Amino acid sequence: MLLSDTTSSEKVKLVEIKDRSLKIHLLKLGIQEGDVVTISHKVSHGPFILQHKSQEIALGSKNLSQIEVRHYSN
Amino acid sequence: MPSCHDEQKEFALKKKNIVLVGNPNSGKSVVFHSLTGIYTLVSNYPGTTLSIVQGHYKEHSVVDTPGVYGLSSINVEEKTTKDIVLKADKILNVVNAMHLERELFLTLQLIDMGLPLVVALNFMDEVERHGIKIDLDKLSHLLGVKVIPIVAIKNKGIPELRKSLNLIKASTKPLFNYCQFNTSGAFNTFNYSTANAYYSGFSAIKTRRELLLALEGDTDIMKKYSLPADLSPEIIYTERRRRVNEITEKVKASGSKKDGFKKRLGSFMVHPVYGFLFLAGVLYLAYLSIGVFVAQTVVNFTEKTIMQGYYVPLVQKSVNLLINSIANIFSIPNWLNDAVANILTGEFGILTMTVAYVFGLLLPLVIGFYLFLALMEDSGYLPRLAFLIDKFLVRLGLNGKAIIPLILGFGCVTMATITTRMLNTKREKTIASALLNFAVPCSAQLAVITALIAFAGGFFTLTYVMIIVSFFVALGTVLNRFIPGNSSSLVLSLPSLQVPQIRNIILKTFVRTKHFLYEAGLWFLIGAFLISVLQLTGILKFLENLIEPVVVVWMGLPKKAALAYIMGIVRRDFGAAGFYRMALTQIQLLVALVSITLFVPCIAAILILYKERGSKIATLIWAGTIITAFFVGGMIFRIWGLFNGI
Repeated sequence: MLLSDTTSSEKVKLVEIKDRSLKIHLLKLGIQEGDVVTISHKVSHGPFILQHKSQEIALGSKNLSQIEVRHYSN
Repeated sequence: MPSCHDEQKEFALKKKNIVLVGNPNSGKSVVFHSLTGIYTLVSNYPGTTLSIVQGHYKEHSVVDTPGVYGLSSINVEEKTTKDIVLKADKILNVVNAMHLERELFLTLQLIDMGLPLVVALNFMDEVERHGIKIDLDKLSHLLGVKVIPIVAIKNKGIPELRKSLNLIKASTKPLFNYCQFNTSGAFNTFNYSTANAYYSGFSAIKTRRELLLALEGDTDIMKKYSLPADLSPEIIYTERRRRVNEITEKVKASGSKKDGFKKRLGSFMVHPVYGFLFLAGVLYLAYLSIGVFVAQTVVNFTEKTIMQGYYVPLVQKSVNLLINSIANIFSIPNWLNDAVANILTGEFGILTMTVAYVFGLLLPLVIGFYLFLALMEDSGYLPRLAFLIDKFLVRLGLNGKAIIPLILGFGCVTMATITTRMLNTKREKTIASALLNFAVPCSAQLAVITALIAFAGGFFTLTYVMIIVSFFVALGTVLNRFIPGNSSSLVLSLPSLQVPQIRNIILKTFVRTKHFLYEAGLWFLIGAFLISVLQLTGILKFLENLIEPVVVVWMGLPKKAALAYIMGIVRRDFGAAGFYRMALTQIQLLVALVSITLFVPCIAAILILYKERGSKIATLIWAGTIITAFFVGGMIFRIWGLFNGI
């Protein structure tokens, strides 16, 4: 499923980051496919925050449809 | 010599240099300060410092660079830093120990480039406080370079860092999985699937640092060696990310203590409901402290009591006395005598009006504004504000990141226009520049407007704000609709919240205020001089008559108001100040203030606009502002007339 289908404070595993420049940008910041992240503060039709380890990364709403994720439960 | 990028000047590096490189918020500028004694703007916001500062430490020249997460040609920060790193002798890599997994990516890239390097591991006190353990020896061993723990802000570890600067060496573990280099740094083998196509071109690259960037498909390097620009850094970056994660895993044991309160406060600030309540609170506080306390109480004292009460009469008296006595001795003709007196102490006197305006009115307000901005920056609130209003800025063809140039515009539009460089696409830079130069009043203008609109009362103040905001939104929406292309999406790492350091706040405010006063004061001086000359030569009358129909018939203002617009061509606030001594009715004040707000950007801003955006866009904006200002001003007058039967 896409990141746009998730709800706030959900824990998901990043399966595929489809936009290449976003993928490269996130690799630098420390996030890559396979990482487990928490989605927080998802604003409807607006931006959201990815939490990963000690980091918080704000992403615009366009990126919601560029990231394929899977539910993660553990 | 490769040809230079259009806007970027070639940065000349001295021999024996040490270049400071690090992520945003790694504390690089503090380290730079403790080595060189030079203060640079430190911001708790990624990408606010774009300038390069150079200082000295012993025989070394020390260079500070914009904070980056990696080196490439993807944005102006990375490009600027990369260009300097390519010429560097030695690198001092400042790393925020709290975020090893993010920060070591850049470290490994620098190591892969074969650069002589030392790592200063900053914020070790925070690490301790959070109960995190970092095995420094192991880290140093895995990286193959010296790692020095420091707490830059408390000067801890700086003496050790200084000592190590003479011993900076390239990593002993320079090889990475994708390429191998021979001893001269030239290219040997390359097991990348597309390598064959590039092989012959790559062999022309003689330095290891350029070679690495070429392998990562850096567009500048590819252009320099006429290589095809379709190589993606993805494979090398993924491999580097894997190594960073592996190293971090081995050296870091996470602690137990969390920043509960800071985290909760951070969450609160970006909450879709509470976040806006918090923002409203911040704005109200800004209004109380700057709009009420500084603009009224303080300015009343500095402008009315000190300047108009003591300074201006004193200067007028003594200058006139001096001029008259000189005139008597040398028998200078009367007209010349009057002209000099007029230029120095007349209506637009450079010794009276200019000084009273710059120091009595502007100085307190500018200090107030920059203090507030510095607090918002250093606490880490600005990036959260960027998140909060991203949704709205997207509709104007921008993203949350544009809040930085837009807010800076309320300080100085000229500086803010330069800051639009940090935006990702040309489209966003154009939209932000247009919004800034059309509809954002700088602190100088706000100062005059605040003082004037107080006469018009609450209803007109509110109407003024609503008209300007609506115009801002309308302009952004139209530009977003008609400028071709796509804008980029927000990607922003949020720094942790922190209590601002008073010293940093004061220094930052001081540096910015100084810069602004210098620039505003200079142009104000030139403007005052020009207006006096125009007045003396009679040209002013001619120009006034020329625009009189627009001002009087179309906008319903008194004839004298034409003067304000002529003055406004130099600086809008200078123009607004022109309304000061006119007895305007409430509606005339509203028309005058709205139109002067939307009027042409000041000369300094226009010069920057030509440089940053090119002559076509700059001319369009300049001419556009004049037409819009008069059009909107007249429309307000007419609509008001409809309702009131004038």
